[in-house]
Amino acid sequence: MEEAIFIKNINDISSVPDNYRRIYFGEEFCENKIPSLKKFKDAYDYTYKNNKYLTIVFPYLPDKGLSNVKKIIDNLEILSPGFEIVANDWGTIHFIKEKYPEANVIVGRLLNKIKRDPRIKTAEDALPKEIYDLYKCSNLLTKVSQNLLSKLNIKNIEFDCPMHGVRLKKSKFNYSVHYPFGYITTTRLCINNKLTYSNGNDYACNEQCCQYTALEYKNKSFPCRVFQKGNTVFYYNNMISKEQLAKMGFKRIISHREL
Amino acid sequence: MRKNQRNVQVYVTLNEPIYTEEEFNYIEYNLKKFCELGVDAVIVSDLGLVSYIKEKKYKINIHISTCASIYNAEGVQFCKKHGASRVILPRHMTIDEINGLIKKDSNIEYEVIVLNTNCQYDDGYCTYEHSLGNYIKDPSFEGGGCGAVEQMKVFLKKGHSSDLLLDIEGEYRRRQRTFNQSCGVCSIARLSKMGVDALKIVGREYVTEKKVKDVEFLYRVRKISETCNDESDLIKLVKSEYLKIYNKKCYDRCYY
Repeated sequence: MEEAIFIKNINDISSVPDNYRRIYFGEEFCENKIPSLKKFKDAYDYTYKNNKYLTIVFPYLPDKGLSNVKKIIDNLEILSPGFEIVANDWGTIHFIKEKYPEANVIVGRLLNKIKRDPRIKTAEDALPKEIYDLYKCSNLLTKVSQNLLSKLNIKNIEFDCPMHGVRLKKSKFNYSVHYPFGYITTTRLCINNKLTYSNGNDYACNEQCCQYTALEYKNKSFPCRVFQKGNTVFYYNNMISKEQLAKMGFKRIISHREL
Repeated sequence: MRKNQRNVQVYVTLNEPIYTEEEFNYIEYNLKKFCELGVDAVIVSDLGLVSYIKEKKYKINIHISTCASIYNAEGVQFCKKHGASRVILPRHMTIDEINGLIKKDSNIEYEVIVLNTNCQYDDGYCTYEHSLGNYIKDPSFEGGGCGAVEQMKVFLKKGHSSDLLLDIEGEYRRRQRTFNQSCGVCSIARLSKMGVDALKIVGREYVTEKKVKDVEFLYRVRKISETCNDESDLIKLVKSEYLKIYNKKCYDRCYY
């Protein structure tokens, strides 16, 4: 089992412990928080010099954001050994695969539609078993999806591990999992920036204050802690260990030290 | 099917984000039936299923659901390559973004949502399960909407000033109270000019009376927008129609 670590701030890269040979850097959920090209280059330089590998990550994107991401991708050594790109929308995947068919693209967790609602775990005893098991299924494990991914020469799929578990299927694909924070839902509207809620807004935000604040949601039906940070709601899965995840079939665990 | 009596298009949704392998047998059976009956299109969110329908050469149009979250032109191209003839755009897009997509490729149809339920979260990326309340009868179990949050606590990272804190909880609650009263109807004229091909009214779960009102409202506004060229006059007329049809003022919770 491979261990990777996700960093959001380039200043944290030098404090990554030695046992992590792969570093994830980028932004999964908000187009306004994508790091600059310079920061991606710094991340690449650091990993190259320190005998580590880099995975860069992008969120779902409207056209303006994707134009920015295209410039970043065009100016990085994305075909160098071990370099990976996590894409969280089909448009990003399409662009990369059309222009760089040999690039190592990973299907990001936002494209994996497995239900993550923590209340499903709470409802376990009340749900018929076959319904409860259905919640462990992923759209990316069906034949039709895996055929599509194979045609795109994609070999890696990201997961979260919901509180109720996941039914992994042995296949030629490699599965990685984020730990211990899974996401539940996301949006272009940000709780930190009222302007994004205004009529006619353009969803732009320069405030970045979501880095400093988080909102915890309390609900008797949640079996775990649930937070919203910026535009995304997360759950904290402390009921499963890395060893258990490895036994389930995940080849890589992506650790997050913070939301 | 009665559609031919009324000369209307009939679309069937197959837009669940997840189908199991077992369910695919039913999907295949249903697809064959839809083709036999002359269904005009299926609305699909799973891109694997989209690719499959094209591969098997089913004689049916494919519309890409809002739940596929296609926000950019590359995504539109991807869907087109896999057989889609229409993309239903996600809720949280600006008029300019929609216009930009259409300008880049007008050889595919675009549909936008204009009425009802502007959930604050993105449909396609949301993994909350709203039907749990159907199984759990315990009233203390909050298995309904994702907004069923009893309490909130704000955390501030060490070293940062509380001046940074906005009324986050208040904004969240305000948003939750009005999300199902959203409307984009004032923008119909602009959407039509840019080349949007279809307008979507959300709410298959609503009672028939509401659905009839929604269609009537949209029909009246479309008629008005064909002759009214001044945007501020149009908005006044639309709000007036809203009041006549729904017997209440619009909430100013605009999609666009």
